[in-house]
Amino acid sequence: MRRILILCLIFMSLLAITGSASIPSRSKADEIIVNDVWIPEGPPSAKATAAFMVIENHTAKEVALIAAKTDAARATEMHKMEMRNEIMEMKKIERISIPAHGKAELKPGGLHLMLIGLTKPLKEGDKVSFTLQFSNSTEKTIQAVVKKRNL
Amino acid sequence: MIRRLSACWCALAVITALCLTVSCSHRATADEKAKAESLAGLGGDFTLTDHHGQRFQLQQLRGKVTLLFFGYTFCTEACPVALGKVKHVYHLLGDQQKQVQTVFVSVDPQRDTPDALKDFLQYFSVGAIGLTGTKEEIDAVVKQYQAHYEIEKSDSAAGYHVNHSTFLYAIDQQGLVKARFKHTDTPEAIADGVKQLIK
Repeated sequence: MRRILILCLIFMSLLAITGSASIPSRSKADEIIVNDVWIPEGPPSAKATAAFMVIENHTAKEVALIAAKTDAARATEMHKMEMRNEIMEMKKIERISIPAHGKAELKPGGLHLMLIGLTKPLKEGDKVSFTLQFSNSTEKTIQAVVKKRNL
Repeated sequence: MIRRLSACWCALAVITALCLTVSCSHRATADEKAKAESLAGLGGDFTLTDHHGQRFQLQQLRGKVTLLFFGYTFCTEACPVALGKVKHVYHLLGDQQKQVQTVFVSVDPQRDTPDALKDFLQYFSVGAIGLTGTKEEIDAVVKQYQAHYEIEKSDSAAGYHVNHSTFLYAIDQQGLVKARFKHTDTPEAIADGVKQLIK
């Protein structure tokens, strides 16, 4: 009987431990999660390239990406590409909004980071580090991998 | 009696098949007519400077199918995607790719020197001819092909944006524009179109 009681106690304490671990207790760094960060490989002579990623906002408030920086380029900007009547239009934008509990997809044919004045040619497999700055004073360092485009 | 019935059924099937064929071919003819009308008066010969710095005339490509694209080397999206697609098209064409020549006309002569074009195009390995020229020369070709581009000043570190049309023109062996592919057209669809011209 005593053994059963001890086993029950162990079982209950294990439950308590795993239970507390599953309670979402996000630190500020986890409020914004950045995934699938990649740069399409381009000609070695390319002066500019794009960077794509998915930014998730796990907070109850809208957050915006307001700046990005990398040593791989002289300037890093936020751009938006749109197709209108078969015409490709490019625009520099000042922020990329990520809705509360939502995400922003930076992908080919749409929003992207624009790396201007590449400091060295980027080829498949290279890793590029970025610092992203958000409107909620969060800063995140992420790493992009250079990949060939899927056409 | 059974024989007669099956003969009737067979006749009915043949008639239905014939009707379908006729209606499809009518539709195909109508589509082709509409396509031909939309391409009428578009294109023609021109002279620009190639990526070796030599004057180049489009008529030098008579006897080949030409794939023509307007773009610029600073482009990070539409142009690399289009050229990557052309590379895929070449792969699909196999040996027939020898009968095709790709031509990339820059709409950004300020940045696109012959050397810049050469370096850019080399990466895509389709043996594309890069063409540039004075703004006036390029504008004339853009107009000839009913393409479009505009240089938009910007506070971007790039200095300016180049907005441009993204058609891929297929020109036949006689120099006539036979198809104008959209950026959403697949390499398979483009390869099929090119094969029809090669035949």
